[in-house]
Order: sequence, then structure tokens, then C-alpha cells
Amino acid sequence: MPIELLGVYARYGGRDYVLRNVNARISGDTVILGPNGSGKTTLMRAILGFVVSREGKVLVDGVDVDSIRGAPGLMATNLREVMINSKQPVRDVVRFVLELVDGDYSYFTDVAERFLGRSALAKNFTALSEGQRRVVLNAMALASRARYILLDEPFEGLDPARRVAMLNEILGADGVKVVSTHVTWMLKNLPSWDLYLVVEGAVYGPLKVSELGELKISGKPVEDAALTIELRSGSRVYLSKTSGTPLSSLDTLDKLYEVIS
Amino acid sequence: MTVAAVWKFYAKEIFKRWEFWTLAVLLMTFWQSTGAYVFADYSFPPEVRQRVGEEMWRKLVHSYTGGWYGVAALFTLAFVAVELVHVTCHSVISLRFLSKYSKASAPKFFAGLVLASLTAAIAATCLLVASTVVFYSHKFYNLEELILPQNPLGILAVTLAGGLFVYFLSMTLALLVVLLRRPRALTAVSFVPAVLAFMLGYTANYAGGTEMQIQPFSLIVKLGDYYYSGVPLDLTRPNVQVWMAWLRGEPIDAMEPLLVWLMVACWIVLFALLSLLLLRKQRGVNVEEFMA
Repeated sequence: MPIELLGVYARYGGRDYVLRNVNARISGDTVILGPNGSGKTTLMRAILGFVVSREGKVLVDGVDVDSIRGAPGLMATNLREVMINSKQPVRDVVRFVLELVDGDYSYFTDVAERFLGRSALAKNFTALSEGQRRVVLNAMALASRARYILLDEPFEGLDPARRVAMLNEILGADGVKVVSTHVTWMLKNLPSWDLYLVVEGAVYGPLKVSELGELKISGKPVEDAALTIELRSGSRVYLSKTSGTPLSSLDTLDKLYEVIS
Repeated sequence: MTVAAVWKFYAKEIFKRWEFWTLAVLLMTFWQSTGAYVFADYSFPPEVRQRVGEEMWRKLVHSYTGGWYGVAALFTLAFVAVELVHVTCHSVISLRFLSKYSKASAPKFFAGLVLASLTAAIAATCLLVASTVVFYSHKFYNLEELILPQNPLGILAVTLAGGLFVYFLSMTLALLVVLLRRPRALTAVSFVPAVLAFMLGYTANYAGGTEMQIQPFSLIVKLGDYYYSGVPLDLTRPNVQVWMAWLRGEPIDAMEPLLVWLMVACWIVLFALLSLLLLRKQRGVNVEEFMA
């Protein structure tokens, strides 16, 4: 059973919509790719049922996300919301949260100590660096042993060596992984994953990650376009296998970001 | 098990906060020491003991101690409420996630939080009773005799009721911050219970008729005083006037404790309903708004 988004609009307060008419179906490991400010985090929040002002439907295994209550093991995330603001050491807060979600605390300590050392877990969460916090949140999400693990920018603030190690942790985890990111270096390691592009609050896809590197980008209409991205400026960008400038390398999708940012 | 886990975590959380120890414990210990060692000398010059006789002296110092205890107990609960506003407000951020994807449903979560609040209230009150007994017994009897609460179970009951009241008051305030989306006002709002305790609880000692005396802060002071020293529950005039009348043996319009308890229960229910209403109305607050 998948996660389905049907005509989802989302915004914060009375401001403009951050997500506009999102339709997507997530049934396997998925990358949500897009530049900064495109709406990736809001999309994650919408899937989890956190967004305050939302229209449309989000179904998780066929159940409306708004009606989900008391379902430990269904979803986990590394969003900051899950970390209870506390004066207590990180290890105590995480132990408490994992107890409530039927998670695996020993797995958490194993990952966190390998990445950060033991002393970091004795500190308050707010005393950790940005990268350390990210490791704690990622490890907590993975340790939740949930059916769906939603990781928002899981490599943010990590040094190159830890990024690769974290990617390996993610790849080794059970459950359906949904990773939202603006970085592209790791895409070559995820060829079989589904990919959605998020551009200016609209979601395009799915493609297979492996297909993305084969595509070409064009500002002129292309008949066999795999994706047609409509920008708020009114212009359109076409991704196809036949016409335009090759995206060429999954390591750098600079050409794509140059056009859609 | 879930309620117990939440209870354990949040009790620890409250005990970890500096405000609990500095305001609810240290400040109130200091407050009680001023009552014993500074103001007692003004209230009871040395010749009073000889003048009034031993029996009246006992009644006098017990009611004096009970009066200070009643006010200090209210302030202690109000300072515990400072923590509770913070803890409740921050917990709302995680509540959306926990209520959906953990075993902690909102009712279980808040039940655990209430137990944690009561634990903190009882701990702070025990320390307050201890400091009151030691300071006032030392001042008036050089510790050869202890000025103990006349009804310890009554003191416990007032602490629990007062703890429940400040919990729901704190929850109401915290949820107002969330509902109005004003996280920056959190610190200021968290001190509202303390400000109200000073404004309404302390003032009711010296001024106001029935309308002033039936507000919850005054009721907590009066019940604390009643169970500590046995001063009758008169809701028609300020505590000081009641003490004076009681000591002089003048007639007092004493009310049945059960009726006072009913009033306290009504206040608790009112704020419980208010916080429940706000809980249903609130749609959460984004973590970014809190961290900003």
C-alpha cells in the first residue's frame, strides 16, 4: 500500500500556497529533489499530516493522514518536530521518544556513537552543532523502524565522509525511505529509486533516478517530453530524451537548477 | 506504561529546570525565612508573649505560621506553573507527531503531564512545609516544639487541587500562545500565574469582599491556612481580618470546607474545559516559529 497525495495544496497561515495541486504516489524508495525553497519540507510535512492549512487528500496505506492516531511504526521522520524541546541530554530524550514509537534505542546509540562519539549524546540537543543534530535526528528516524521513513535533507551539515556513511545507513534501513534533498551527489547510488522533482511548489514525476541523467533540458516545446515543468514566470521547461542540453551527470544537476531556480 | 513514561520524562524535565529550584524552592524558602525572622519581630514584639498568655500565644504563632504557609504555598504552585507553561507549550510541537505515530495519544500524553505537574507540586510543597516547620518552630520555640500542620492530609489535598488548578491554568496560557501564534510571548506569558498569584492571592489577604475571596488564588491560600492552623474559612472578608476576629474570639461567618472545595473544583473544571477547547482549536505551531 502506498502513500498517495491527491490534489494537495498547503500553506502556512494566510500566506501564499507553498504546495500547489500536488499529485503523487509513493510506494517504494523515493527521492524528492528540488532547489532550496521549492516546497520539499512542506511536502514532507503534508505527508506526515503536520501542515496546518492543507487542502486535498493524503492517504497512507489507504487511510486519510488526518485520521491517523496512535500508529507507532507507521511513519518516522527526521524533522525537528519529533525532537522534544528539553533540558535533558539527547540520549534521554531519544530514549523516551523511541520508547513511545516502539523504536530500537540500541540501534540509535550504535549509529549516533559511530558518527558523533559518546560525549555528544550527553549534551542537550540545542548544544549540538547543526551537523550533529542532523545525525541525531536521522538516527532517531532510522531507529524508529517505521514502515515509511521520511528524511528531510539528511545530509545537510554533514562532512563528506559522514555523508557517505549516512547514505549507507539509509540504504541499509528497512522500510520505504523517502529522502528530500537539493543535493545530487548521492543520486548515482540510488538508480532504482523513484524520483519526484519539486519546483516552485509543484511536484513532477515520477521518474527513475537512473532516467534523470539520460534526459535533456530545453526551453522549447518537445513532443516526447518526460516532464514539463511550468514556472510561475509563465515559461516552461521540458525534460526529454531527445532535445535540448544534456543533464549528463547525476553528480551535478547545475543545468537543471540554473533553469528552475 | 505510556502514561508512566510521559510522567517520568516530564517530572524529570521540570526538576531539571532552573526556574523550579530558584523560584519555587529557593525563593519560597527565602520568603518563609523572612516571615519567620524579619516580619515576626514586627508582628510579635517580645512583650506580647507575656501579655497574651501561653494558650493564646500558641494560637497566635500557629495562625501566623499558617498564614505565611498559605500564601507561600500559592506562590510555590504559581512558580511551578511557570515551568508548566513552557513545558506544555513546547510539548505541543511534538504532540502532532506523537499523537499520530506513537503510543502516546493526546489524552495519555496530557495525563502523564498532569501527573508530572502534581509530582512537582508535591515535591515543592513538601520542601515548603519542611522549611516552614523548621523556620517558625526555631523562631518561636527554638525547635523545642514543632509547629506542624494541623491536618497534613488536608495540606496534601490542597496541594493536589492547587496543582491541578495551576496545571490547567498553565495549559490554557500555553495553548493561547500556540493559538495566537505568538511564541515570542511565551516567557512573558509563563509568568502570568505568578503575577496573578501576587495580584489576587496576596491582595486577598488584606482587601476585598466576597467577590475577591472566591477567586481561586484566594481559595488556595485560605484552604492552606485552614489545614495548617485551623483558621476558619470565612469568604466574606480578607484573611487578616478573619485571623484577627478568630484570635479575639469574635463571631466568624465560617463556611463549610466542602463548599469551598466545590468552588475550587468549579475553577479547576472551568480551566480544564477552557484548555480542552483551546486544545481542539489549536492547529499547532511550526518548530521554526519557536526557534526563530
